Amino acid sequence: MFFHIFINRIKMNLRSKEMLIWSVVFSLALGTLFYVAFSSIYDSDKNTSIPVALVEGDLFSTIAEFDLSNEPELAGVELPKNTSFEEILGDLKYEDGTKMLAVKSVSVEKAKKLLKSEKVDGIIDVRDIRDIKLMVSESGIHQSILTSVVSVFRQYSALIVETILHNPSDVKEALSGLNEEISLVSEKSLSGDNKDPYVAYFYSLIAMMCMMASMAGLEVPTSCQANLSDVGARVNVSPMNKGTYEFAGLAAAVLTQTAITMIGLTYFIYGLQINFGGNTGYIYLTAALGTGLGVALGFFIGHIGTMTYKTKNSILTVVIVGGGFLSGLMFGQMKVLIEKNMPIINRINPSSVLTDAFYSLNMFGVSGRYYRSVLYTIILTVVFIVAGLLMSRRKSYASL
Amino acid sequence: MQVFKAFCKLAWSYKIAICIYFGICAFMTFMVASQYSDTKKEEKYGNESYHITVADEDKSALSKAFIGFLKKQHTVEETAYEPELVKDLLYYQEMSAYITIPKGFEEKHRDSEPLKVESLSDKGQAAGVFINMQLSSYLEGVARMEKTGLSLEEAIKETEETNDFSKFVKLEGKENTSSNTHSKFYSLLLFLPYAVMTIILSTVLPVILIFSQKDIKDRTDISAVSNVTKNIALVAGGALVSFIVFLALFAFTSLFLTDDLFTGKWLLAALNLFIFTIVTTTLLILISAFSFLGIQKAKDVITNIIGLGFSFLGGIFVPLSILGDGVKAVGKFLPTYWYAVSLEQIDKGVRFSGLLKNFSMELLFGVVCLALGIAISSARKNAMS
Amino acid sequence: MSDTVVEIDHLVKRYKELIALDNFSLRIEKGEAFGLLGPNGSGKTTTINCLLSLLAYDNGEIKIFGERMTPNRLDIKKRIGVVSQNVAVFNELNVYENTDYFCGLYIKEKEKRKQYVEEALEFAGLLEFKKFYPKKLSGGLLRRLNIACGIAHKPELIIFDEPTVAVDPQSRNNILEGIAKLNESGATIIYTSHYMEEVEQLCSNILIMDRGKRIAEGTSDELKAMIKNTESVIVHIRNLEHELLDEFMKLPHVYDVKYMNDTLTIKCSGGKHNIVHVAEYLEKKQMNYDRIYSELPSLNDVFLEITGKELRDKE
Repeated sequence: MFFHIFINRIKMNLRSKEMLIWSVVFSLALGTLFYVAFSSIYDSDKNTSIPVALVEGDLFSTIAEFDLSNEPELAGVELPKNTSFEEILGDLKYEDGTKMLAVKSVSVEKAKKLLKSEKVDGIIDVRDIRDIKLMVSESGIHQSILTSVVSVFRQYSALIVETILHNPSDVKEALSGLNEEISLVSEKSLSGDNKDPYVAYFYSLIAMMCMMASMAGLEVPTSCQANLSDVGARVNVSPMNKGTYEFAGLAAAVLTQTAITMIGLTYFIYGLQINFGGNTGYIYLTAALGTGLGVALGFFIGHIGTMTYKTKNSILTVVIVGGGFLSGLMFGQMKVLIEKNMPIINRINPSSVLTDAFYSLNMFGVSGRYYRSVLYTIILTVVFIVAGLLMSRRKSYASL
Repeated sequence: MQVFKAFCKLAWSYKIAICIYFGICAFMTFMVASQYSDTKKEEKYGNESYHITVADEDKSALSKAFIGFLKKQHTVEETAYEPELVKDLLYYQEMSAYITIPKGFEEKHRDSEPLKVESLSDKGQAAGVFINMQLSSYLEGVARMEKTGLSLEEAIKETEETNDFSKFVKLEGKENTSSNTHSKFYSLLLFLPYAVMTIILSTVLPVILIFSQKDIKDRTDISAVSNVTKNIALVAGGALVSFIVFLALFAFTSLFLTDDLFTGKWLLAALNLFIFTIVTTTLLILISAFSFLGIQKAKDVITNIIGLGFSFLGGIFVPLSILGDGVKAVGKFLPTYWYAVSLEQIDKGVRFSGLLKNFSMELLFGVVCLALGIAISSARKNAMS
Repeated sequence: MSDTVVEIDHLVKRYKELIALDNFSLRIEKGEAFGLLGPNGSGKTTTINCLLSLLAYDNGEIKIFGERMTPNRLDIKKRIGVVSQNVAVFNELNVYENTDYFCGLYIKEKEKRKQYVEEALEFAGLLEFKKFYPKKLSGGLLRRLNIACGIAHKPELIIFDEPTVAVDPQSRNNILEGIAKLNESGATIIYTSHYMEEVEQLCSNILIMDRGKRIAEGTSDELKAMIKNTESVIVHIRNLEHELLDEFMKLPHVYDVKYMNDTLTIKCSGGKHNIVHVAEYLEKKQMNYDRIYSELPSLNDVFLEITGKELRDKE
């Protein structure tokens, strides 16, 4: 009996071509759109070498004016003789080894030309070691980093130059102070496989695809409730166990909808090469569970009260669109703002639960938080199905 | 008139749906409004400003001076979060760094193995690198200064001096670019096209599609009502509902814009949205011309594709300044783009004459929709007969 | 065990203010072809839906096969077949699949089901349309598919709720003959309609209802015997003067005379050769007429006489 219904329901689902095609079109179209819109934003903000022009004097020319060997106290102190500013700046590196600055040593005139033509982001002018200057043409993150670099050099030069000029006897101390590693900041980086926040739009999109499966879930009770359809009446007068009947319909809907979700997801992962951060198997699993949740939701709503199909449809739209909004589909930060202020909403909203599952897979790996999201998903699914089945028990209708 | 009346009756049967959709859109508007109620600080010249959270467990003179230093250019929130939330906030770039100053930091900052200030950020991003450089240069600067024999207060003063970029940064050439943050007026109204499209597509489109159902279409076609009259009635019906939607949405949003009510800016914004609403109505005509493709069943999905697609491409959700040039190139063909551009200019105080081009681009899209819709419908009709 | 298949006792069903079934009772014996006749909105379909436990009712008792019917009596439902008023099939399944699908709700065994489905399709004359999808079927074929889906599992009690609405005369005859065959092969039939001819042709026992109430019950002849009218003589005659109507009343056995639209209807109670009396009278008065014929009373007359209104709107 179960298989009889199941097979036939699958046939019916596959033959509703308009719905199938448009559902696939939805994920392909919006996925491509997100890809085009978001794929380069994060990378453009990544560690890239900042082009900078250097107008040089010799860093230690000022120091070299002093004959250190005449100072017995300074015996044994190594002065970095051949070090040029260009080398020091060129040695600055990001954590991943990328050079922070791409330095060009040029004349003032040339430097200004480069700045004007936007070939460099700034000019570091070290001609006067006592007053190192930075010239920029606009404000931005690169300019800000240059500011930081320059301010460190100003600190150093202030320390050394002031010491040498005014208390030459303290120079040793000053230099050893410079050589001494002082580290008061422990820098930790956000861990996670792909830290690109724009991938979160895809999380919400997949969650929305899952929630759209609720429309298919709504069809299940519609086709077997006498007050919703004529075929429903026919099913009701048959000796078919209604639980079995609905369960078979549910299973068929989950299977077809999961296939649709998988097509979209596969396109994202292998077609668009979106980096969801490893754990591909788990991503598919989560999407499948999510689709199940979507179908279960529609199934549940389909059983509530005596509302018309139209009204139930509208309720689902609220969950799909409104839930998508809350999970960050339209404004990426929405989910975390809610997490900060009203976390409970993120636990109840199915879209947020799913978005969070994908997110935690990426940022925390297969961890407690991921399992928590999966557990919520399963609990919500079971609650919806059981509640739906309970409401679907054979009953006589007040009116048809 | 009959067709128009029937249209209104059918549309009225969607009253619950309309209310529900209006509810979600109102809710979204409300959320956007609350998000922007704390207007971001104006960006300072020279350095980027970020959201930084500091958990100060030390509460010492040094930690306070340090926070004061950060506050000079960043938006600093002093609070402590759960580790998971910290990660969430960093990931979604709601904050750029989470800094913990451990208890006893000031006391031990000159020890050989000092307690360290912990800074958590996305080091793969320039923002993270920049903030970390600032932290080190400040704290380590203070420590070095102290080594030369200065007192803590003197060292702090000295360090702040060397870190004061206004003393050594010179702006060459271009004028300072204006701030990227937008006003509440802009943010709230920017969202409305999505609401307009969603509500109109999900409530008016199904009604129009009913009229294009084969049986009903045939019946109307053989009646004494001419096709032109019928289409005019349908467009009029659609326009009426759209107009009501426009009024309701704009009125609701205006509740949050009490400062701008009845100003020229406000009126221009209303005109901008009104034009957009008209264009959306013409879009309906184009979509319904495809009714033979069986879009009836998939209307919800189609509504979402169009609503979300147009909004993203037009910069309704994510500002166009962030999106790539490719998106912008496509967006220029959409009314949402021109709506957003107009709104930005209205917000900047551009007058009507300066907006004419944008408005006509919006309307052009409508004309194209209308022409295509009519062309397709009549081509279908010819093909059938 | 008694041979009563359906027993409805004092059934009351209200829709808010409206009383749809007012203390309604009926009894159907095994093998009967039972006709439930009444105008639109008289409560026929409500009765059927209550009988099937689709509708909750306010009062009364319903027994099928001698047992109380509730939504959970799957054993009873197994023995019932329903052909609903609206065509209830899936557009995504073809003729064969639809029949198989609904048959599958009753019959588990695949082989048996296959055979049953084939038989049902043959019965409904749909064998050559097996692969057709409902959208491609004509109205009549669609109705026949609706029937095939309802009877494929060979039920003992088959309920036809206005199965011939909007069906062309030819298909209607096919359907009626089919139902008669089912009845002959032993199935108990409940047939609701507002077409009295169908009920008259098909049913051994007929119940007439109106406004949720039972009006009369019996065989066609019994029903007709309940009323005064035994024969109507109808004369198509032009420009008859109204004063003459009284003259016709004076003819033997005549109790009612009406003249409308050039048609003179003379109702008689008892007596033989009433048409001859009328014809002779017309001859005698030298009145020219187009046509004269005699009609035996129909169920419509029964209905008309009891309720004072036509059974259905003239078409």
